[in-house]
Amino acid sequence: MKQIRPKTQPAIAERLLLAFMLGFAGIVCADPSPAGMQLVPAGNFRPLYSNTETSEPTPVPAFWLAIRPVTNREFLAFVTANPKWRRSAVAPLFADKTYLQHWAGDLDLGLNEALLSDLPVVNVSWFAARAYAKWRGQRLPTQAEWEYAALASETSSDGRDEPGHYQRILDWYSKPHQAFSTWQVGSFRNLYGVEDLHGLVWEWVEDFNTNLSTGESRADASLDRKFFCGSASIGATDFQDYAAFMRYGFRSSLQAPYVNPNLGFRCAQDHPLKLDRS
Amino acid sequence: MKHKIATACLAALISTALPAACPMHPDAPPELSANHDCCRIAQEKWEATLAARAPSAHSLYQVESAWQNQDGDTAPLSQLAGRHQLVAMAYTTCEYACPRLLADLKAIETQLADLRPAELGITLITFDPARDTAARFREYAQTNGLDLRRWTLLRADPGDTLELANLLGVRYKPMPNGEITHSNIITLLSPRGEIVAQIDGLGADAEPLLEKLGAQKKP
Repeated sequence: MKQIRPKTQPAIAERLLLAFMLGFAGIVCADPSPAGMQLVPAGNFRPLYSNTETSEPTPVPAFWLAIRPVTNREFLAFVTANPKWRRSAVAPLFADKTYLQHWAGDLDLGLNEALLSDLPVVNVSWFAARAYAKWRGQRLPTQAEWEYAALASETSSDGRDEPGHYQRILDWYSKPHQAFSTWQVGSFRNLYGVEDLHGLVWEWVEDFNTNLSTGESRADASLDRKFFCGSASIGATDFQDYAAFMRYGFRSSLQAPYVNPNLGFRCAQDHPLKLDRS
Repeated sequence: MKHKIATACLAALISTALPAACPMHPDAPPELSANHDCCRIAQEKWEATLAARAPSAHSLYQVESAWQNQDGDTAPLSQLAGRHQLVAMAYTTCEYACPRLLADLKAIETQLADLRPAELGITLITFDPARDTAARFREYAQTNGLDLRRWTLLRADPGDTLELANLLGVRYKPMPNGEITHSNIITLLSPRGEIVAQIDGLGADAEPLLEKLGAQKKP
């Protein structure tokens, strides 16, 4: 909520300080990131649907993002430690009936255990994903953080201009189920060292439902009209980014208890050197 | 038995730091143990009291978040349990939708004036916990003439606020100008925290809510 509010460009001094601190940390210990996480450096991000009155991009402070989506093995450890999140015990308020339906039982991955263990967990609701992240002392990434990190290709922080990179994402979207994916775990590692943001599963984000393309919004005159269907594309900042349109559209169709066989999540964590811009 | 209860409660009251749980009723929900209300309930009614408050699988009071009210007291959301609640989300600096939403709630309150505050509460939950502090809540309640026996104003962490919004089906989005775009839904919760009925939109017909509370629409 706070992170996606556009503010002014971060001061040069702050950036230098961050660079210095990170450099210092790099000298003191080889890997300053928490286990399984990579630092995504601060930068500016222009959301697909930004407010037309403000042309300023959204600053995204530095944060840590999990290298990979949460796996079935990791989620099994979570439900083992938290019985109320087991398949047979979860409250209907927090997850639909098909929650973890690809498992054989509450604590049993079934015959495909060997294969499934290292694959991203799917069929989890937003509530379950958040509970897992909280249990780990982490959180879900915001939509701005996720999209900002996902812009990066192997070699650039903005892969949109690389035709090969972009086409690869669209190719994946045309056959999205992991069972049919030609991609393997860890097959796409971007500039930040974050893997599989594209290629395996779609991912929950903290504020998945803030695009407000719902009917109820019409009752509110203060709402941006551009969030509606046809007019939505007029408000978009990048008409070429069809892949982003698909992601935003998919997120808007979700509700927090929904589960989906293509939908998983990964964790994020605040960077301790939180640059206070206020 | 009575003597035992009195002794236990007295001991608890005398101790400077009140224990988290009432010694006689360790399973009492926090809102009942805080003032030792649990000790004022006759033993034979105790089981029934607990049962009526036990969170059901569909209860919103299952959330583990902490909510601060206009008095600055922080408690789980189950602080609202024990009576029907009309719940809406808003923020006090909102200039357009929220005053109308408040007017809608007050109109419903008038319709339901026969129900005592112990039977029906009205709760406003803020989208904007940074600006809507407990002090701001008190000021808002006074300005708008809210009877605080009936009304509760609550704030929580942004993430917990988002979680509750998702349970209520409320969507919102902070805008760059500091305003918050949001849907206008009024939810009726049962004493156990289950969603009984909802109305959506400003000026919506409150009939579905009144009907569930067994009230007739007044002319």
